[in-house]
Amino acid sequence: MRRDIFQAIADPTRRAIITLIALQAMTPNAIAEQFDTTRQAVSKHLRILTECELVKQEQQGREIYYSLEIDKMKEVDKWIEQFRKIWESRFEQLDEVLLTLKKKQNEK
Amino acid sequence: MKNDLLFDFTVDKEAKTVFIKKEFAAGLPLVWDAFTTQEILDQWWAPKPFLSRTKIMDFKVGGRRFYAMVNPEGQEHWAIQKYTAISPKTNYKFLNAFADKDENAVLPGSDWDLTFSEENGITIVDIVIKNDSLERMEKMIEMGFKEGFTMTLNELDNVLASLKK
Repeated sequence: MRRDIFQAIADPTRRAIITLIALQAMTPNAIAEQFDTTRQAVSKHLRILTECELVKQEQQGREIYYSLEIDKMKEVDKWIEQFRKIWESRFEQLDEVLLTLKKKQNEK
Repeated sequence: MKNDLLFDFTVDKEAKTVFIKKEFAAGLPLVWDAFTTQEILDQWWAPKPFLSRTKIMDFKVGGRRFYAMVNPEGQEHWAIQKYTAISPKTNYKFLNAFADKDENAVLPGSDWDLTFSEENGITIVDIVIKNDSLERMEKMIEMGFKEGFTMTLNELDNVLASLKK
């Protein structure tokens, strides 16, 4: 199954996990402590995030630490670009509305 | 319409805040009216092919604008903007929340802060939108965008499909 970053950020718990490990690498246990859900549920989210290549694992002693793949987060920028386009279109319309209103004012 | 008026759009993902700056070739009173009068707002607020349909608008502190974005199939996406502060022709703030058709808001919403200034006949509008979550930003995109523009349609479909999940 193909996974992508939008799947990763489509879930509120996963977004919260991203925010957490963006600050520092954390063990699954430390992450799970932050949530009101089971350790299994958190593991599942971590697995999906790993499959989306959004987080990486690192062994340190006996513990596994999860941290964020910053470059991957940049894909979100593309998605933000679409949001920008909404405003661009909106403002193009407003520019025209203002032009029309100005003409009307001048005719008065 | 081609012009050299400034349009600046930045997103601070950590702070979940969107910053928009736009210049308009019109005097401040006119631009202020375009943002704060129902009749003019409905002419430009919705990106084509959406329509903006305002049902209630009471532009005063404590008042609200209850409106829908209507897609070409006639499907309505409702939202409420509750005005929290107004300094005429300078600034106004509102709390924006999605809603159902009976005006039940889906909280929490986003905080909007709009500042107006004029220089040499050009009006500058600064908009700051603070979201409580990335999810909300996704929702905003869906609301304003789903049927899409013609330009990057194919690429867009893929992205939207994954967003809708």
